[in-house]
Amino acid sequence: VSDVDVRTRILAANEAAANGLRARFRAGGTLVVNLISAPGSGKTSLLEQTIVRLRDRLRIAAVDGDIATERDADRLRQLGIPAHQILTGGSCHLDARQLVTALDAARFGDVDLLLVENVGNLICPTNYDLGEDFKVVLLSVAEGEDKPFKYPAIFARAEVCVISKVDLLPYVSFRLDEVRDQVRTLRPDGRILECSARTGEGMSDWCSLLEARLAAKRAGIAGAAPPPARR
Amino acid sequence: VWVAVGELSAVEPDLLRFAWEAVTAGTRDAGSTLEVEWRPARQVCERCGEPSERAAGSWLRLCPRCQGPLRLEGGMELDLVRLAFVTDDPLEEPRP
Repeated sequence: VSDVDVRTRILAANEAAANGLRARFRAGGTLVVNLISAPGSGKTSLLEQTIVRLRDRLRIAAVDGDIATERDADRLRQLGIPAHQILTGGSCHLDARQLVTALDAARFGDVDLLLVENVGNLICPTNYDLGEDFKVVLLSVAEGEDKPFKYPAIFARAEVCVISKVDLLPYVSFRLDEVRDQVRTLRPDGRILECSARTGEGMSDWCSLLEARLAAKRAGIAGAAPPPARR
Repeated sequence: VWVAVGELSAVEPDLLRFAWEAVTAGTRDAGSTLEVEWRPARQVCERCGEPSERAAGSWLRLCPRCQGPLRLEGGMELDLVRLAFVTDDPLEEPRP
């Protein structure tokens, strides 16, 4: 019997590709956001409203992951930004190599803000680093207030949690305090935003956060070395 | 094959073992076993520095000793740790 100590990350190949992407985004001064949620939480609607508010100030591009249809990318293209659809054909998450392929095909050119809309799923996208600056998890008030503790991995990893569809709060049983408490338990240093793409509530906070993070990234590139990537 | 799976890795040990059996079946690796080392996440008190005991799958909101805020540590692992294999390579037999 031979024994070999290996001690390697199972997703090392994905991480290598993600590190390549990170270097590319850093060289381009591009802020990259990886949006993750269950299907129907309003990722595309949030992005539409983000694009409408920021497109005059920032060069924005989007990559949409879905199992089938170009619907999401079409919705964003109608707002005048370049968008590329990745059709995963059944796979439940995006990996770093898929994003490399998509970016090579899309040829977006210089971009300030790259919005990556992951496949609708609260579980599998959690583990796949896409070279993003941060992950955003969306939870709509219609999904129920037990979700952070039921899907702790993504709520622990996402630096920003957007509670979406808050215009529906009067019609559903969803205690915001309880959800904020669960999210903070899993990610004490995270940021929680409450938004409605329909009424515009919270959208300026969200857009300010993106602009501030982009400015901080560019200042960091001009100044010191980048912070190490968080696993 | 020993792998470490963290509580926050979004990987389920039983399903991983089942998948291992399925992909190795009918290959020369059939019969090999996948041992999963479960790595729970720890909730550590910011104030008293102590990790807290908790029931599997449940989360504490505050430190049970001092009511201080808790931070989350570990549990993100998805690592290949160690391999042990039986060789029947003739090159490894003692030569006359």
